Amino acid sequence: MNRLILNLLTLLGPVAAAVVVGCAGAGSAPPVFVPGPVVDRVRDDAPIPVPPEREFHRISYLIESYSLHQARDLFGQNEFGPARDVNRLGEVPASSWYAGADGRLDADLVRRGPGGEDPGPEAHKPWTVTGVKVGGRNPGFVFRDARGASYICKFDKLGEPVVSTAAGAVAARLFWAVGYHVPDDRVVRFAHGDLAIDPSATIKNSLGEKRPLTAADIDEMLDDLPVARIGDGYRALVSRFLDGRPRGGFALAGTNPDDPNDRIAHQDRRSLRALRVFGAWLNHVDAKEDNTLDIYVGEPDEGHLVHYLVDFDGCLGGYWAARHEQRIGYAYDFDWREFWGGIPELGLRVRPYEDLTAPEHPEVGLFTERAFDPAVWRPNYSNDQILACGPADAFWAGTVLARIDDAMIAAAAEAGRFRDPAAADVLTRVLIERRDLILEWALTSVSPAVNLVSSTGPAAGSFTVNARSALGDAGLRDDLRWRVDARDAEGNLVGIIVQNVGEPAATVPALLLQGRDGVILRWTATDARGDDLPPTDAHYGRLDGAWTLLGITRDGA
Amino acid sequence: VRRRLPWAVAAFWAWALCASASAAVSTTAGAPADSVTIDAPPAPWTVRGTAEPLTDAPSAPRRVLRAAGLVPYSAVWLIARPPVALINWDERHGYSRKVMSWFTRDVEVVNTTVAAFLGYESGFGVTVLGVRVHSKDWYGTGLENRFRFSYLNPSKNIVEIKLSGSLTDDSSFNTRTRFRRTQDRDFYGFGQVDDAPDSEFDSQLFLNEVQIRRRLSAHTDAALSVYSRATRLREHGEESLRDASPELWARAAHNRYFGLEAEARRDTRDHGEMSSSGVLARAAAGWNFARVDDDSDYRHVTAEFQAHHPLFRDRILAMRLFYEGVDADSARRLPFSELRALGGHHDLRGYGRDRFMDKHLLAASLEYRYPVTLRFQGRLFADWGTVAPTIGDLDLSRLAWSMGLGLAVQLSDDDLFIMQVAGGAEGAHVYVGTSTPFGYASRRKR
Repeated sequence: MNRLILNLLTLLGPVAAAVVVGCAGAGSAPPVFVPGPVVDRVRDDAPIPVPPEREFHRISYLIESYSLHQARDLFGQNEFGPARDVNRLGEVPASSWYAGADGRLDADLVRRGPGGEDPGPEAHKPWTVTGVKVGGRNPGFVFRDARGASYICKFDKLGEPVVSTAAGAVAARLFWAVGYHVPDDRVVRFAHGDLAIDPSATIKNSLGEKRPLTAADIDEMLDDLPVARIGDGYRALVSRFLDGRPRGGFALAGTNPDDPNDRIAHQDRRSLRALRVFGAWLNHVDAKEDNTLDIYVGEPDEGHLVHYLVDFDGCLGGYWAARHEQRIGYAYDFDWREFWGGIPELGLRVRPYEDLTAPEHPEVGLFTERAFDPAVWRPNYSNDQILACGPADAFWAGTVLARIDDAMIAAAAEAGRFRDPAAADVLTRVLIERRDLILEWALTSVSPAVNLVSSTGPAAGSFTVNARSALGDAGLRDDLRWRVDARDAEGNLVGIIVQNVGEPAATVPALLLQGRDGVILRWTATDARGDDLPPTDAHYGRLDGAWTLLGITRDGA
Repeated sequence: VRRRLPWAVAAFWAWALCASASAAVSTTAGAPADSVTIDAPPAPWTVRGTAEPLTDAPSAPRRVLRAAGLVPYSAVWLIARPPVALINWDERHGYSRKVMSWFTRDVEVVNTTVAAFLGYESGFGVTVLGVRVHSKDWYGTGLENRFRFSYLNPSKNIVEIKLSGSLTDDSSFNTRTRFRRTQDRDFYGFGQVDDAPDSEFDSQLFLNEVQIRRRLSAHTDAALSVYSRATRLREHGEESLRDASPELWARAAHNRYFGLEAEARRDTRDHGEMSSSGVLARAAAGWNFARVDDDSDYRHVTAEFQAHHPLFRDRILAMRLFYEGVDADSARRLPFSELRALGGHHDLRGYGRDRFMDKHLLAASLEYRYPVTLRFQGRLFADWGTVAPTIGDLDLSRLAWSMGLGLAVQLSDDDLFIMQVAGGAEGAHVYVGTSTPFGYASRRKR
């Protein structure tokens, strides 16, 4: 018996100790905001030497994603703190990581995308093939158009014409619209006669051995692409080479030790965490390191890195076109939760995605709002950025997404150059419905009080905050009930301003503010089920006699 | 230290405030602060506008969950981290690629598909190390190394050389030379006996086979095989077969056969072992000529029927009926190693390997297959079977049965890896391997 107890203690001791240690420690006090401006751009472009090119190690990356990342999430070992690339309003300033959506939110701009007024390579034929695409599962080639701009050219997946090429162009525009650095991706058409071969072009065989590229190689590649043929020509997705020196993808966690400008761990960047939200919208399931790209811009020792997202042809229905798996967007490529839960379920529980059958339109692929739940959306591989996305991060992404209107989405869908115009309509409708589903989720991940700027109150010494609900601003159904209370610098409740009201606006009475230099107003929304959403805290300070918004935290982050 | 600490804290605050102030351009009271561009700040919280970084304060339930998960996560980390690091190290330096490249040579074979395989298999039928050579027009180019993870079973080893290719558009050939060594196999006696194993024995098999297969229609083909087989049984342990049955031992210790078999097959299954629909029906008959003693000649007959029926949303019901029988010139002199056997991971999974032996066997399986996650399939199954000295003695009222649960992972269109736990009247057995009762090639008696 004693031995049994001893064994139990040996086994359970570490667990018990860990529980005790884990339970220890109290919550932290509210942050102290220092008066200052709202930073809307961070210049992280100090000159640096050209960093070495970063290689992507696919096998170890995937194994680590399948094993350690998921295990860490499954066993609750993730420890992601508040985002660190945000300003006092919780918004992401423009930087080399995130350009910001301002100046991009217009249907005409979205239609043109990052290429702007550039008519693209179709206006500059012939194209000189300088090499064939290396890496990836699909054939392609690299070419230089008549004016000297270089592009990589990819084609649709076998058996699924239009789907992935359209997805690449459409998703690139929408990622650009929400503020990311992306290349100019567009759908093009060309004829065999538009291609010439650069005398110095080479091709690698399956062993990695190079030899001169010949016309026969091009003929052979195009002959194997019945899916790309349109009449006498071909349809393809081209992506313009970015100006600068490619330095490989950026790590999804940690910083780049070769880039002194890179001071915030990537998993702590709200701009990257928000890819969890934008990725869910656009079904960017193939989000991994080799679909990002650092570009060194400028002359050696005078330039800096700019961080791009690239390769979007796996978005929307694009990945489904290659793999035809219903679970895409619903489960990881290998999903521990599904695995351990699925064995004892004996198949008696039907997963929502199992009812998804044929695509609504063949040129869109299996990309739908049916059974779509943004809260449980999964890319193919778990990574720290996706796992780190907390309520405050999702809310910020929601506020950005809410600025993408239906016209912009329709304009982006046009970039797919579908054969059947009805496909663009279907894609537009699906994107709009998915956007609305995401907004309902993201904007209620915290109490969605916005417009928290203070103004002079009706009585001397008081102030008013004409707060609004982000749900209402986004045009969504809003049945939230609000409570606003005031707290001191330590977070202690000092008074309830309003309670159980339909609008979050509040006036803080002078009496409550007497003798104080600062106050925290806490907005707590209660949803239709009666559940309180995580609070939004706005910090106000008395500056030059007037109450001023100093900073905002949502769910403490 | 205590006396200096307040000064350090004060210095830190002063620095943070200065850093913030240096970034600040102006602040308008009563209105949102102006927007500004700042240089990369010395500390991220300068952008945030706080005096020090925000910290996370996880809720109590989250802390408990985290603490409780620490031990299992540590275990996973200890298991997974070393191989990840090793593979990453190899990828960074490209050693495997260099080795592959060094071994790879371009082999030009036109208008035929030739595959030769020399490999070592464990008892679970998993290739540990092999080399596959194939022609350019079949798949890829040149020489391909095959390295696969495996659990080495010390009681059964196989070395095999295979060669296959096309003769015409409709016909193909396969050859194989196989050496198999099996140790510690139980011998239970003959028929539907209930006793514990009589004894243990070791065996060695040397097989040479050539098969020509011709397609007759889209789903139907026929095959003709010739083979030679030598089996050597070796006594094992004190309770040897030699003592238990000297006459049988004398007949079974060393036998050599030359054989001929014809087979007809109709296969409409959509994905072999992972099929969701379709049937497999096959029948085979053969003649086996003893090279030592004509009295040991015998004929064999095999009949099999499989059906896969989709239930709903990738849930599949699969069933299988299987009959094998031998007919000898002299029943008394038929070596027991040539008898048909029932039990093990090929059929009647809740029993030991070759638990029941006799001249005729009848087996049936029913499986419910359900999706677990991508490429993984759960299998709930029940098996039945019996053996008898004559076909008329096969007694359906005395069927042995077992049932269990399996987990299959699809490695490719044709390969799967499966773990099964099955229980029958004599206890439970666990099987890990690549073959199941529904694996067409796995139960061929060679």
